[in-house]
Amino acid sequence: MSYLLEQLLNGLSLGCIYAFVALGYTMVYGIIKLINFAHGEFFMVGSFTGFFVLAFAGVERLPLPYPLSLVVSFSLALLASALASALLAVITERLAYRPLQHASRIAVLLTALGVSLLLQNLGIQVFSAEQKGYPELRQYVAFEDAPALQGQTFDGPAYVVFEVESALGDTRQEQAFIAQPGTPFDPQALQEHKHRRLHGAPIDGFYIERPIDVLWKKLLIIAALVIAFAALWLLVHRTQLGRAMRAVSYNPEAARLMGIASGRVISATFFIGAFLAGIGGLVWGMRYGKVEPFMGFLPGLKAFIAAVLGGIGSLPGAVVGGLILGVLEVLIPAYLPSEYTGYKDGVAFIVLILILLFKPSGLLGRWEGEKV
Amino acid sequence: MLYYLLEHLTHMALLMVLALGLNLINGYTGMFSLGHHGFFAVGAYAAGALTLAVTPAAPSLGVGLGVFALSALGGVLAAAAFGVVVGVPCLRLRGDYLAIATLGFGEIVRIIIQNTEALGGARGLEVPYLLLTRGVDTQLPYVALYAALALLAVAATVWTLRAVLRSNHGRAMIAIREDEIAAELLGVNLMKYKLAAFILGAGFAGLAGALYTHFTTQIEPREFGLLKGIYILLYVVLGGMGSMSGTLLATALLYILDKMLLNLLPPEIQAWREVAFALMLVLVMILRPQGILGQKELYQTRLWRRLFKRASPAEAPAP
Repeated sequence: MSYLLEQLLNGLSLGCIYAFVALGYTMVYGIIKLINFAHGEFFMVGSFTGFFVLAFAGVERLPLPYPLSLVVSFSLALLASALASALLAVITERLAYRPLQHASRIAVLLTALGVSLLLQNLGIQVFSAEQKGYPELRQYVAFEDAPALQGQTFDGPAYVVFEVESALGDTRQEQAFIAQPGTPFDPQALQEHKHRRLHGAPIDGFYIERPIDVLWKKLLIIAALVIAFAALWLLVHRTQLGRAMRAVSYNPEAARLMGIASGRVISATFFIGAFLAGIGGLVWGMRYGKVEPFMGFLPGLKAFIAAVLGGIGSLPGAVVGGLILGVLEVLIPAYLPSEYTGYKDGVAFIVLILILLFKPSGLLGRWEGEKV
Repeated sequence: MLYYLLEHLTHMALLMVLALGLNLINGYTGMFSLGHHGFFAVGAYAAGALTLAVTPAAPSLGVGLGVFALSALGGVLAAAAFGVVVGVPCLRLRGDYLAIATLGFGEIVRIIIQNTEALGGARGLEVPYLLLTRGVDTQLPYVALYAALALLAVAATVWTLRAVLRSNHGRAMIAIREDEIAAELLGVNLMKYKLAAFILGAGFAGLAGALYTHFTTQIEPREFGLLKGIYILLYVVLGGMGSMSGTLLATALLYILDKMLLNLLPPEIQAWREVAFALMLVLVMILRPQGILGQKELYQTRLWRRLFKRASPAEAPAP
C-alpha cells in the first residue's frame, strides 16, 4: 500500500475515535452548553473497563467454538466499556452538574475541570499510574482439544497462565509460552505445564492470542463509527427521546413548559454520549495497545476541538471534525522533517485557534450568537 | 527551619503574583482565561534565555544585578507581548470559547518550548546564579533575598492593581464584567480595556516567571503544564473572583495546606492529595461558587469590622 494511502487510513481511524468522543461532547454542549472536560475521563474509564474484561473476566472461557468466541468476548468487552462509561457519566451529571443548573457558566466549567482532575486522580489510585499493555483477543483451548491443533501456526503466542508461590508464601500469576507466533504448535510442549495450578485448582487449558491484523483494525474502527453514527442519527431523529433532546437543546424553558422532563433528557444525553466515548475508549486501547489514567485528557481535548471544528451542537459536524482533525494530525507530521514530529500535539490547538478566529460556528454549525 | 519557611514563602508569593494577575483578567474583567500558565512560562523562559545570552563568564555583583534587572524586565515585556499575541485574536471570543482558546495557546507554548533545542527542549534550562550563589553556607541569605524580592513583587502587584482598579480604567473593566453590552453603550472601548487587562495580567505572570527562573535556576517545560494553570485558577476562584485579599488569602491557605501541612501526613494519605484537591474544587463550586470572599475585600467583611474596628461614626448609635 502506498505511503499516502496508509497514512490516510491511519488518520481516518484516529479521526473515527475522535469522532466517537466528539459526538458526546457535541451532544452535551448542544443540550446544556457545558464543555464537559470530564468526557475524556469517561473515555478513559471505558478503556480500562475493556482492559479488565479482556484480561481478567475470563470471557474467552465461555463454551463457544473458536471464531465465535472471539466475537463474543469482544462484544462483551464493548458492552461493558460503553455501559461503565455511560453509568459514570450519569452519576457525574447527577452529583456534580445538576446542582449547578442555575449557577454561572464559569462555575459549571470549573466544576467540569474539577471532575476531570478528580477522575484522573481517582484513576491513579484505583488503576495505578503506570501504563498497561492492552490485551489482544484470545482463544481458550482445553487440554483435551490440544492434539487437534497439532502443526498449526498462530499469529499470536500461545501460553498457559498459572500461579507460582514465592519464598515468602504469597502467590503471583505467571505465563509460560508454549508456542511462538509463526512456529508450528506441538501439544508435547503442554506436558510440563499440565500439573500447574491456578486459583487452587489444576489448570485445564491454555490461551492462544488471536491479534487482529492492524489493517483490519483500522477498517473495523471506521465501520464501527458508521454503524454507531447511523444508530445515533435514527435515535435523535426518529424517536420520542431524540425529539425531546432536540427540543431541550433548542429551548430548555419552552421544552419544560411543553411537559418534557428535561432532567431525564439531560441524563439520557450524558448516557448516550458517554456510551459512545466508552466504545471509543475500548477501540483506542485495542488500536494503540496501552491504557493509563491520563490517557483521556488529550484525546478528550482534541475531540472537543473536533466538535468545535465541525460546529458544536451538530452531529455530522462532530464526525466531520473528528475525521479532518485525525487526518491532519497524522498527515502533517508524516510529511514534515522528523525534527518536527514533537509538534504533533500542537496541530489540534492551531486548528482550534484558526477555526475560532475565522469561522467560530464551525464547518457545519449554525452560529446563534452569544445569548445575553 | 527558617530556611524552609522562607523557601516556601518565596514560592507562595510568586503564586500570589500569578493569581492576582489572573484575577484582574478573570475576576475583574470577567474574561475566562485558562492559559495563565502560558504567560508564566513565557516570562520564565524569556528571562532565562536572556540571562544565558548576556551573562559573562564570571559576573561581578554589579553586572549580576544589571543582568537580573534586564532579564526581569525582559520576562515582563515578553509575557506582555505574548498577551497581545493571544489577546488580539482571542478577545473577540467570549465565555467557553475564550477559555478553550487560551487553553490552546497555553498548550502551544509548552509544546514549542519542549521542541526548541535553544530553550533546552524537554530537559529544561539552567541559568547561572546572579545575585548570590546558593552554596551550603549561603542558603539562608539566598532564600531570604528571594523571599524579600517575591514579597516586594506581591506588594507591587497589589499596589498597581489597586491603582488601576480605582481609576476610570478599572471601572471600565469592572463594567465589562458586569454587562458587556451596557458597558459598550456607555462608551467603554471593549477591545481596548479587555486587551489592557490581558496585557497587565500577563505582565505580572511574566514577572513571577522571571523571579521563578532566577530563584530556582532550573526550569523544565512540564512545570508549566495545564495543571499549573488550573491551580492558579483555583486560588482565584476559591478566594473570590474580584477580591484581591481573597486571592491572597486563598493562595496562602491552599499553599500552606498543600505543600506544608500535608507533608506531615503519612505517605499513604498523601497519595490522595490530588483527589482531595479536585474534590475540593468541585465542592466549592457547588456549595459556594462565589469563593470565600466573593467580590468583597477582607476589610469589607463583617467579621473584619467586628474584630478590628470600633463602630465607625456612621454606624454608631445616635446618642
